[in-house]
Amino acid sequence: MPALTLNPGFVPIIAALLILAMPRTLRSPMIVATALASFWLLLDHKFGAAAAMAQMGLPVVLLNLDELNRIFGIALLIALIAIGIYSGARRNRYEDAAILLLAGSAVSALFVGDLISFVAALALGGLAAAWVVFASPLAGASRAGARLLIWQGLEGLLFLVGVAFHLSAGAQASVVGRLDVTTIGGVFIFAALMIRVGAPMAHVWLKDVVSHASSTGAAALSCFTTMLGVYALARLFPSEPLLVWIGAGMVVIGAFYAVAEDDLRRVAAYGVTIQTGICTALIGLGTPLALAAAEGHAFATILSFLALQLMLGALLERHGSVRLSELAGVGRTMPLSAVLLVACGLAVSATPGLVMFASQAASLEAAAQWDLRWLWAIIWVTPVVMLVALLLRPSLAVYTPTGEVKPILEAPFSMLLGAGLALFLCFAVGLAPRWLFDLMPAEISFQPFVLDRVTPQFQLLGAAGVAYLALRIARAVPREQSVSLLDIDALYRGPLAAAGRWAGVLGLRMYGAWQSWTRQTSRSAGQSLAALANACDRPYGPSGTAAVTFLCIGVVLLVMFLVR
Amino acid sequence: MSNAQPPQPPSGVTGLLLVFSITALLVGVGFDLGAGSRVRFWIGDQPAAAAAVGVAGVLFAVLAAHAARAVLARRKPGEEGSKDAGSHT
Repeated sequence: MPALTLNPGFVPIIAALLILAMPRTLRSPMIVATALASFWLLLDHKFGAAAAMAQMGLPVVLLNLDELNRIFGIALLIALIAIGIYSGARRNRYEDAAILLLAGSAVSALFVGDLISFVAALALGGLAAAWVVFASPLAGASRAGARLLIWQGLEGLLFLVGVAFHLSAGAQASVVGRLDVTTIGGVFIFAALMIRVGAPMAHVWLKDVVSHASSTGAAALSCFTTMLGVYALARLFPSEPLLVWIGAGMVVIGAFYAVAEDDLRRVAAYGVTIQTGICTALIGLGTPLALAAAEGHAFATILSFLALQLMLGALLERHGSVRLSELAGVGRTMPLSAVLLVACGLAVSATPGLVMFASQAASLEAAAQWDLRWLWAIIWVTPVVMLVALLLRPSLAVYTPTGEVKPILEAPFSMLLGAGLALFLCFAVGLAPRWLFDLMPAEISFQPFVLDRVTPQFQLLGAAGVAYLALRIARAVPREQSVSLLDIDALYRGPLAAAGRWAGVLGLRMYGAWQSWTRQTSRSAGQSLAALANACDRPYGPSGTAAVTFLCIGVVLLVMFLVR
Repeated sequence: MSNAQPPQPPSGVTGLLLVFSITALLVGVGFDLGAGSRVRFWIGDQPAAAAAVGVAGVLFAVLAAHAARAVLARRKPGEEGSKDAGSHT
């Protein structure tokens, strides 16, 4: 009898079913307990692959633990603990179940040891992510969920086709190694992962779903979706030069939108795209330091943006909006939340002492080893964009006084606690980054807190802050207005959708015309046959039609007989 | 009637942010200028280069924000909501 192998991700999946029947008071502790149980399973196992089982002739490896997936697993399970604490103030059992299912499928995908199971876990995660969006009470969530389903369906299809080609070429499903992007199977899998990480042209799905999900759902989607793509790229396509360009494109596009968007949750989603782009580019470099930096940066991104999304969710819950143009006065009505929001802005801006600074320093060091000054410069400027978009603009907005006097209405305690925990971890890991570097697959003797790294960062952020505030005082900065920016999704939701509707109408009309023509033709043929049959019934009628017909048929038969 | 942009409402935290930013800038530049023993092989290693990069980054951010608002902005959230492109109102 084969030994039972329990992937740490299976625990949240099982719990997702149980939580549907639980009372509200037990659901939040249940999520936290589930994450802790998964954590225990993760830390309890030794590195290595479990025995493969045969399913439909294919080997299935349910657990394969190594340094690469362990660091991602730890980050995702920490995120689940914070989300579990945070979700204590809500009453939505379906969303709780969806978040657990999403987390479970993401963690399962990390730890499975074969491509088939990986695709299955990704597909389950896609469905769960759509369920998270569908469970949101916000306007437009159902359509955003449907759009996400389309993206996830396309990704799953590409992945499945790629794996099928890969296996048909003679590869082993249970050997998950580096794939070649020049093979047909590799191309399909690469394309699927580009959708997952939000590469240029496919970057819109994340901001779409994050801005439509609930306060808790946005944080879960921010953590459990794109970072899985970073893991898969690090596993399947390390040292792929194309990734450097794609990652740089993600950074530029994300920066362009992040500094101009009004909706802070969209800004945060573009921020995730920027950081995912840095991870992608580093994976493309492929050196041991670059891969380690990419993993560390993914870890830092998960923690920092988790804290930020949780805080934004708390603001949304109480204030009703997280648009910068509507945040005036929040510093007075939600003083603690406003302070935490500023701290989250510091966390995502790679301020020295926070986790993002350590991973940013490692990323810069990795990029400097190559003759890619432009990539190095892009990574270096990223904290400035984050500072402007997610620290200075929100701070200035929430502390803008209003004439009205409103009572203090802080976010629920559990929300503050969950966000505070995530923020505390940003500080804790940031102040002791050796803990993070020791988790990485490569041995890194890297010290972020040296004068040559800390002082440029202070200069960078300080000069950026002074310059931005000076420009704002000089009224050179765009005024905060309630605007939505068109992105590439406007193309497929606008002209392309209209073209699709037009093509559909045209197709329906052509089909109708075809049906009408066949109906008329068959009717006239039937009438002719009926006339002929009537004529046959009356062969000696006045018109003599039947006699002529019989004569013609007889001539034809005679000719055929003679020719033969 | 003037088309000039109305002034940005004053924020109570502007002065505090300015003080923090100036402090960070002075600390960074001070230490950078003080430690003058590095090998400088390109412009990014010159003293106060990070400050210049920070200012350049902010200029990019402000110009990008102006460009994005000018080219891509839709200013009617009510209409946007009816087309399901908005987030939450």
